[in-house]
Amino acid sequence: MSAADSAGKKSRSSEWVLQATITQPMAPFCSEEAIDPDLEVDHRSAIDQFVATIEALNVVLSRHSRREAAVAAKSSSVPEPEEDRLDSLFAIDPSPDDAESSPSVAQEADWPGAGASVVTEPASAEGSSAWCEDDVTLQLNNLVFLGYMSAVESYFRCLTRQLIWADEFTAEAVQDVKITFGAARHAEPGLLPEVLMEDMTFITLDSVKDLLVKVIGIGMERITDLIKEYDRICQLRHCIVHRFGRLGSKNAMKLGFGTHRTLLERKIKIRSAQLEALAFNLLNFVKAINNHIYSGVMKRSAEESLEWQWDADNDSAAFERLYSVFRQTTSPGASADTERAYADFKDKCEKGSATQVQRAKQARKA
Amino acid sequence: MKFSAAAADVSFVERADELDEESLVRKTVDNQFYLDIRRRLLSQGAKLLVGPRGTGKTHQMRFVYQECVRDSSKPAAIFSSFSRYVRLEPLLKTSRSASTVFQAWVVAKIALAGFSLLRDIELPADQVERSFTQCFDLASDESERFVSLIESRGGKEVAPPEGLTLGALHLWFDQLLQLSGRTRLVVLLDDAALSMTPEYLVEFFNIFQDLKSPTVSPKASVYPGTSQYGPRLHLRHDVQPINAWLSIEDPAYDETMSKLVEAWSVRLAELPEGVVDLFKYASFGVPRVLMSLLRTFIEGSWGTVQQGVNAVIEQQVELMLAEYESLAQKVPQFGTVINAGAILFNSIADQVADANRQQEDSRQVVIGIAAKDIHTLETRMLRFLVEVGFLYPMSSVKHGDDRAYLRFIPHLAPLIHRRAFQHSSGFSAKKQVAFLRTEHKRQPLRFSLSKLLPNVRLHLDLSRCTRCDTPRLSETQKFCHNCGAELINQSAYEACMALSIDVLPITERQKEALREQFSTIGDIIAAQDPATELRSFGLIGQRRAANIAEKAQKYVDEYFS
Repeated sequence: MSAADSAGKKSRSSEWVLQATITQPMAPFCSEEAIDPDLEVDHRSAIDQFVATIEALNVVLSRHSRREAAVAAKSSSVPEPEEDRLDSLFAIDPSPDDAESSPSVAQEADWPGAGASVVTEPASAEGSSAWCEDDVTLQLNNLVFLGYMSAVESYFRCLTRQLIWADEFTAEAVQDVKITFGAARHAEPGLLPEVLMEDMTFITLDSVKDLLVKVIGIGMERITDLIKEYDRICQLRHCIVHRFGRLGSKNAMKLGFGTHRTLLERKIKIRSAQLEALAFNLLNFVKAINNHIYSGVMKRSAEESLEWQWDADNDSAAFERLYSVFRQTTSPGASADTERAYADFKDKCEKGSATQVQRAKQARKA
Repeated sequence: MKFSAAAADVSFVERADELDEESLVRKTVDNQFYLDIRRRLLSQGAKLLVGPRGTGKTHQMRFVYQECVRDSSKPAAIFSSFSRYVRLEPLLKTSRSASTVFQAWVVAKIALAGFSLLRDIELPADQVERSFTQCFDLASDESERFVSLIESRGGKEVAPPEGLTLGALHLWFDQLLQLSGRTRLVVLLDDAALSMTPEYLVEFFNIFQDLKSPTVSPKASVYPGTSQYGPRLHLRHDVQPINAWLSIEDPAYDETMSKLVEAWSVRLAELPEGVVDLFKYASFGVPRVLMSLLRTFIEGSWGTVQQGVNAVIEQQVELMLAEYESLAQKVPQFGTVINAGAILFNSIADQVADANRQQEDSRQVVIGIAAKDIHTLETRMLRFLVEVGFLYPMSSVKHGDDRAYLRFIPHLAPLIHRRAFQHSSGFSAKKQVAFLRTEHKRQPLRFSLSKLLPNVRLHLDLSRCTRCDTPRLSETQKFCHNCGAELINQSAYEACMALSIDVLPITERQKEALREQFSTIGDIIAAQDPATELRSFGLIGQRRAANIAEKAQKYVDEYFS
């Protein structure tokens, strides 16, 4: 019976597929339904959007941990008891004389906690928190970490797009980049720069370097170390995205084979405290990048553009256009207001600016 | 009555750093206790001079320095104060290079102090400058500029000059010894308690350790109660303490205090009998307090001796409390702990006063607190009380493993204020002193912490999220667990800028003088910036204004030290 059945099938189609897994029929996924049709271009600065995303992810985490372990959080906030000996609590007992203390006294006065605690404390703290975190939390931590990484990438993309509109020199640098016809035909003009970056990623050292050097054109000195650190964090991302969260040999090499050799193919488990540290580092990395690009772009503009008149009334529109690209409007950590930022810009960049040079030349002629 | 006769030829200066060289020497006491301190300051090896504010640490250090300048058979000595470390506190919250800047500042201070020594022993200026520049690759006035930039603006956007390294400092020490013709060097580091910034404290004592060499002996002055100088420095092992705080139980107590009063040339005969002796006890081993008690008594006019003594002691107790409470502004995360400490101390004072009132033949001023109740925060609380001098720590006693007691003597001024030593209704300073001189009971008054401090749960006061006002769960938390926003670490120093000058632990009269020019602590700090200083005072009264400003800055330095 079954032989006949299969014979029939065979006759119907000659493509015989070996099945190792059992499949169920699936309907095509309507991706358009998963996307909100209302076009809301987010006009907030890249940094604002980035910070908001990080915060939203933090809320996800804390909702989870609140449900999981209000108790665990409480116990971790109580500091470890100190290892002080009673006698060394208060540094007042006069020692009898100057004669260098005898070995036995020195022995007794030796302070058990200090030296050792520095070495063991972090280890024990990590150890204890590692074991009270269950697999669900660890899994969620990895996913939230990916969310943080994607926020960083989105920041780069968003910033570049806004900068191309705001800064003529960046726009100039990308003039020769080719874009596809389809994208050019359908994209709203405001989103066109986004199309430029369709083939770019910002998750490796080289890609960030290219962005800073080739696209924006301000170089990367002074922040090379930061980008290297970011590249190391990216290795963790690659492992989670591409290898079920296990450490690959290429990633291990980039992270430093000395310390990672023995960890090949081991699972990445980001503990909550570490995740917080990663979020903190990524946040500050992006802020540092934001400052670096702001500083470079403004300096270049002052040196090359004749737009700046160096008085607040004339310059305010041009300054606002650029400043709003970099400005964080949300607290805590909100940027200075436009007036103060302009005053600072003028203070640092007016001297030697293109306008000043030109004025000096004219004065000399006259 | 007014004791104007006694006041006529007395000029009290309560701070050693305000004394000129001559009066410093004249007002220095030469008894065994102080000679011992100075001998040990001059001796070889690393040492800590330990005592609360006003015990004469600065005085002894400056005296030793002067001695070394005058006497070429003594070792070379350099003296430098670090009370302005707090200007660098905000940097800790904003910059990763804070400790690098701090280290350069410390090195620059020590280097410049060495420069002053060579000038004080009258070596040719150009020669001194030449070798300074050789060592640090930096002129001395550039180093000075760096130091003053740090001390006025807190080091934000100040890049430390590259030459200010420990290696260069040791080269400079060699030069110092060679130029001065001495065989070894004593480095006196005053105000090294750095109580607001444990981060810098550890950094400082790392440098301290690195200063040590066969020819160089560092000495630092600190407050009692601290034992956490970082992993590299262990008290009594790497460094010996020198006690600058004389216990009232010390056999030399009375003689030492009398010598001090003599040195200030107070005419004792003209003061009512017993008053000076009572003040000696009320000062609890702190010369500055004794001086202030005497001065307030002499300068005031009182209906009766009793009224005068009571008023003077009451004011002193209030000042001490104000100083203690000001700690909560400086380390706000310990606000609850510090407040609980005040309650604890009052409770101790009540108990001890009761116990002494009930017996006429022997006094009882030592207390024992069961050690089993003392955990991290309780320890911190006791340390705060020891640091300001409210509790004199004695070695702990053990009766078996679980019956260890920490022993303390509570400050006597609040006890005298509570009439602890007065057994009849009539006031007699003499009788109180006689009682204080009786034999003390062998056994301390023993308490458990829960009895002294019922219903108090100690906890850290962690700052709130600036967006949603939710308090943090832990000190190291980086994002709000409610709204997800970044948590910003606020600088305690910057928060103190907005405080009114009323928080300074100084007398009402002193405050009045300050109010002429300043209303907040921030105003006083700002006046230190050379740029604003000249602008803010008109021509008239410029000298007086400048004097007040100088005083004000000393108070502020003291407040933060």
